[in-house]
Parts: sequence; structure tokens; C-alpha cells
Amino acid sequence: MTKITVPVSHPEEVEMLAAGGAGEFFCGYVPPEWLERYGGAFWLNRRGPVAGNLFQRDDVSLLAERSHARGIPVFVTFNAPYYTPEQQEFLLPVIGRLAEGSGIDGVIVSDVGFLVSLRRTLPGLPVHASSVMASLNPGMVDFLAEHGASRVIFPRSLGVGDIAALCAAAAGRLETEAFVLNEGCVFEEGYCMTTHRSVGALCVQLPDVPHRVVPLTSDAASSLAGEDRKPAREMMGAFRDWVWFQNGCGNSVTDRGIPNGPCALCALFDLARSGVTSLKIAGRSASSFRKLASLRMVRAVLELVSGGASREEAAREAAAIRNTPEFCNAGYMCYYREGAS
Amino acid sequence: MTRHGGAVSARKAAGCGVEVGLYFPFLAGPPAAVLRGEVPLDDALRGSPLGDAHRALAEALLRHLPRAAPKRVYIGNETCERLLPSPEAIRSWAAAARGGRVALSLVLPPLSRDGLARAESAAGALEGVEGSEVVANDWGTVHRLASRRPELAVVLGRLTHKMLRDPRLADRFDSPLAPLSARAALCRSGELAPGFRALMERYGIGRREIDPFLQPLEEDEWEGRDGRLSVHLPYQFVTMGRGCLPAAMHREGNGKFAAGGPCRTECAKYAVEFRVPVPGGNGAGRHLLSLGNALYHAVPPHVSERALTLLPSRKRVDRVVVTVPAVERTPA
Repeated sequence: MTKITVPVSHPEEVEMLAAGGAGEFFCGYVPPEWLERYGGAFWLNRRGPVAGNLFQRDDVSLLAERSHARGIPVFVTFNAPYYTPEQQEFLLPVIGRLAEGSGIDGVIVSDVGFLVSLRRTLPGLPVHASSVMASLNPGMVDFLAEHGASRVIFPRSLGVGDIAALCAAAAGRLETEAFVLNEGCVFEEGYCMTTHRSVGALCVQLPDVPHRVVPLTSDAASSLAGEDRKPAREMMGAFRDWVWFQNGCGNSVTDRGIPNGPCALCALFDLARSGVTSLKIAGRSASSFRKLASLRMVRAVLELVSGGASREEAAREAAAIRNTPEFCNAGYMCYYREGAS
Repeated sequence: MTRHGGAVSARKAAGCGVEVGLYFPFLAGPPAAVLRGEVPLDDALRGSPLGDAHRALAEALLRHLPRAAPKRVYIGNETCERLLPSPEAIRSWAAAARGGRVALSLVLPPLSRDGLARAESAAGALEGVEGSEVVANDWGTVHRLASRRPELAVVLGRLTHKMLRDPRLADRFDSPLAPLSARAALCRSGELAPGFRALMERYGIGRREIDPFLQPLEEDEWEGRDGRLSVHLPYQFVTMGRGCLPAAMHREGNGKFAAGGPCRTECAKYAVEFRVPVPGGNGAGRHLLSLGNALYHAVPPHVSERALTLLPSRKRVDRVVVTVPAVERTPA
């Protein structure tokens, strides 16, 4: 059965999430020396230095020990978009100590050069290609296989059909992982050169800042004064809606504590058949309760699918568990929208 | 021909040994006169509806690179595979460009599996075209082209150059108040590390594109490389998505922003300009330009000046790529 990959940010969460059906854990680790060097200016991974990270190697060791006791592997994320040469020199021994001393099962990286250096320095340590590496095509699957990655994590922007095709291309060479719940991104994460630090997410900011539509030709200027005037005005309203949904419906939860926002529960029937080996729940910095609520939803629908439910039955149950038909019907909350019209 | 009308060698015409390329991301075909090498640089940039950035840039280019003339044309689009030209179109442009001694660069965006297959065919149309090259913006495409079309020159596109480009923040690291280690880290990439160098060597990449970064890059980022550099002006790439803002104008229902949905190439007609507030700024904010499915920032003149001033002393930087988002269509 496909494994559910679950975020964890403290050893105390292990027992609860393991009992909830977690098949794998991923976590962040920021050693104090990193903070001394870079403060909050350069994030070691895709979360800020405070939220969702472990700071002591002993905590990583304890987390791994507790997870392994339950048969669950632990992967640590080093997925900043890039690291400078000096940062790589600093991180390679840090990761070596995590592998040998703390018993982690692998790392998640985004920087292609760092992937190569890691494989050379620590050839026995599995390396996963983060979604931030933007693996969009079969050429990238070949690239990763040649350079020794053990898993590809697909970016959120791919459709289920693309994921199935890439899983087929990866079969026998790479494990595969796709997002199933939480933490959307309206841009392609691997090609977004902005930062959330200090200034917040640009995508969330954009719908509410002053803007103007600029015609690029004289013909376009005429159209904008005529038949395109209304569509141009409505475009930004639609963009605002889309951003809001992808941003966790304004980071809201239902009255039953279920997180709103990006979701692929309805697509689990097809995802399970795509050959993908792991399904990722995002959100290392979320509360323990949110992690557990997310895990329970995914597990419930996945068990239904494994038990022989049809695509329609699984989708119906997924929508019923969420119980937010107004959000589901809007269509902007789905990860995999290739059928949207 | 140069803007002064004199026939000179390609290198001389390019302006002090620096080649100038024009990138037309939203045209179904590059203007025929540009392909024939008949359009002076300032004419190519004049009359842009996006105005000031181009006017200032044309003046600065000609001041720093006397007699500069466009000698390379970029076709295709770096962020949208829908704008990938057909092999037939590429062959006809190549034929037109040959007469004008203008070289062609086929620009590929990050590609899907379908896009990759089409791009392989498109790239094949450049075989045997002197001076041509393919600009790849994802490593999967680099790997595929190196495996299946090893005869093609592959340039690493600027989207693969991972560095902070957030115009709300980036130039703050050009401040003596910024922490030294953080400033150093944000003014350089990971491309001088051994792993990245190994990849460049493995794939035989001799050129990479670079953006006009708001933060000043450290010396090694320019000169510590083995290959050549092309600098883009005046737009700095900021971000992109597979959902497209202009395409949402004419889509129905919840199909807006879905990857691969229908589009009427609204990107060729409209841009959207945003003014984003900058914390601690003077209230003017920073302008972001939504061009198709991507966001760009037209860098202020002092940043273009900084890049152009560096050119004579930078042996590795021998090409400037100027984006022209729109020109009025003229008969071929």
C-alpha cells in the first residue's frame, strides 16, 4: 500500500502520528551554528528558522529512535533552493553526523549541485529530490537516476496523468512521492525566487496591491477599451479567489478542526493507481492536531480505495469527510486540476 | 548593418566584443527586419508600451557598447511551453536569419513530458544552423538534449540560476547594515561549489544566463567560472507558475489558472503591472510586471548601469540579452 508521508516537528508527536497511520516522517533541523552565521536572513530549509524545525541533534536522534521503534523511517529536509559553497562545506559534516550518529534514513534536497556533492561524500545515504527541484518531465527522472537520487518528489503543479507517466518512467530506479494535502503554492515553487521572510508571501500580497492592465499593442488597447474591459476587471477577482484557496482558504479550519485548503483526497483513487510510492501531507509548522486531522483524512480515503471503492465512491467519501461542499465545488482548492473547466 | 548604416564584422557590430541579442517572448515570429539584421538597437526598443525601462536601456547600451547592434535573436518563451515554435517555423526563421548573419537561440521553458517531446523536435530544426543554440531552463531538458542531440549547443537558462530575486528585499543586502555572512550568502549562488561544477562539465555546458540582480554579485560569480555568461536586461525574472493570469481573462468557471487549459495567447496582448509595497520604503513601492505566466521586475537604471559598466572588465561576460515584450506587428 502507498505510504503516507507525514510532517513531524517534535519527538513527542511520533507516537500519536504513528498510531494515526504515518508511514514515513520528514522533519527539519537547524543547528544553532547556522543561526549564529546567518540569523534569519538565509533559511536552511523551506520553513523559517523557528517554526517547524528541530534545533538539537539529540532531538533528531530521539525522533529517529522512536520512529524506528515503530518501523517508520525519518527523512530530514535540507531543501533551500540553493546553498553557497561555504554553506555546503558546513552542511556536509552536519548531515554526516545525522546519518551516522542520529540514524536518519535520508535527506531531502533542492540544489542539484548539492545532490551531487552529497552522493559523493555520503554515498550510502538516500537522497530525495525535493519538489523544489521541479521535476516536471522524464528527462529529469533520468537525470536524478544518473546522479544517484533515491526518490523524486513531484511538484504540486503536475497533474495526476503527468504523475502516473513519471512514476512509470521512474519505476525500478526511483521511489516517487506526490502531495496529497495542505500548503498550496500558486507559483511553481522550484522557480519562485521570492522569499516569505520579513516581507510575507508575494502571491498572497499581489491580489490586493494596486495594478493596471497594460495593452502591448494598439489593437490590444482598442480591445481593452471594448470587449476585454470586463474580463480584464474580473481576472483579478478570480486571481484573488485562487490565491485564497491555495493559501489554505485563508489558513482556516472547519468547526471540526479539519484544515481547509489544498487537497487531493478526491484524486486518491487515481493517485493510488499511478504507482506513486508515497503521499505527502505538507505542513511541518502546523499544530500537532492539524497534522493528525490531516493524516486521519488521508488514511480514511486511502483505506477505502484499498478496500475496492470506486473512483466515485472514494470522491464522495472524501467530500463528505471534508464537509465543506462550497469550498470543494469552487474547484480552486484541488491540487490536481487538469480536469477543471 | 549597424545603426550608423556601415557594414562591419559581427564582433565589431556587436559592440566592443559584446554580443547583443533580442528576445521576443510573445511573438509568433520575430520581426522579419530584425532577422535580416536591418533593425538598429534603439529602433528595436523604441515605442515599447512598457516605455521607460526600454528607453533608458537603449541609451545606456549604446553609450556603453558603441555601435551595438542586435546580432542574435531569441525565439520561443522561457516560461510557457505553449509558445514553443514549430520546427517548420524555426526552419523558415533560420533561413531568413542566415542572410542577415543573425544567429538564433531557441529558448525553452521548464518543460512537461509533452513539452519535452515537442521541444526535441523543435531543437532538431536547428541542426546545422550556424551559431544556433538551445537555452534550457530545466535540468531534465538539459539531460535529454545531451543524451539525444549531443551536437546541439545547450545554454543554461536564467531560471536555473537559483538566487534571491525578490524585488521587495534583494537590494537590502547591498547595505553595510546587513549581516556580513548573510550578505555574502545572498550575493552568491551555489554554482561555484564542486557538485554544480561537475554537472556543468558532465553536460558540456559552456554558457549560462544570468539576471540583472538587484544585489551586487560577488566577484567570483562573474569570473570564477569556466564558461561564458549572458546577462539579461532590463527584466529580472522573479517567479512563474503553470497557472496564467492573462489567460484567465477568457476562461470559464473554475478552469481559470488550471495548467494546460485553453488560452487565446492573451500574453501577446496584455501585461499586468503591479505596484508592491516595500517595508520601510518611501511609499513608491516596486513595480512587478506580469508577462504571461511569469512575473518580472524591470531593474532601475542604476542596476543596468552597474551591469554594463562591468562588461569591459569581465572576460566571461560577452553577451547581453534584451527582452522586448511587445512590438507593433509589421508586414514581413
